[in-house]
Amino acid sequence: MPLNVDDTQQMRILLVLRMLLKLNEDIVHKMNNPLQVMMSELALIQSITEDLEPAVRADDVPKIVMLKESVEVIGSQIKRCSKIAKGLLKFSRKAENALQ
Amino acid sequence: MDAMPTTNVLLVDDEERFLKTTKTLLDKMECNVFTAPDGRLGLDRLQDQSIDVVVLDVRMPGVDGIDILRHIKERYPHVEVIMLTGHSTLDTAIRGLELGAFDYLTKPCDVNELKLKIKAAHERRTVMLAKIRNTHSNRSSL
Repeated sequence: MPLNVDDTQQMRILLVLRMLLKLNEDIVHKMNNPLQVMMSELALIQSITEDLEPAVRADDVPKIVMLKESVEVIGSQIKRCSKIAKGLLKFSRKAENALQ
Repeated sequence: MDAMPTTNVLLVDDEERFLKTTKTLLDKMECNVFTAPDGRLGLDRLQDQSIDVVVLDVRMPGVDGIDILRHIKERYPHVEVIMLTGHSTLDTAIRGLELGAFDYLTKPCDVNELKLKIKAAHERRTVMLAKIRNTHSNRSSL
């Protein structure tokens, strides 16, 4: 069924859409900071693991291998989140252009 | 990572934990790292310490990162600045490069990438300062 909206309603809808797009951009930006903190923490864990590695007992070597694997997985998941954030921003920019 | 000469680095970012952890990581690569949680304190640090490279978050609450960059480049033209930007602030990155920033990195960035940029920025500063010194001595020998 076609929507029957007058000019005032259309203005309101546009305003709400613009607010949502702005909110989307703000959320994306705010997400970058915690992602950055996690990236740095991960680098710290990697660095400490490398420092401790020579002193690890032979029995514990598999645990270090597991730890390294786990760190890599977290790193790739952070990058995945960053890609999602980038996609959201791209969507926002496209939608803004469409509203112009 | 290759060894590099000691670099005085100033990190300016409003995320305290990012400052602490990144300082720990950079300290390991022969950097003297100073930190500031905002642009104003960053400028104070620049006045007190001999800084080679600034890593500047260009989007902090309540400040325009570009203004801070402009101040730095006006007062300390040979201090190299690496900007940290978001995906949504690439326009700011372009403006920053036009104002003389060395480079930029998009958050979240890899710390190894940051290390490489700091190294490259310090190298450029070293070359530039040597060139200025040579030019001074050439002029006085004329």
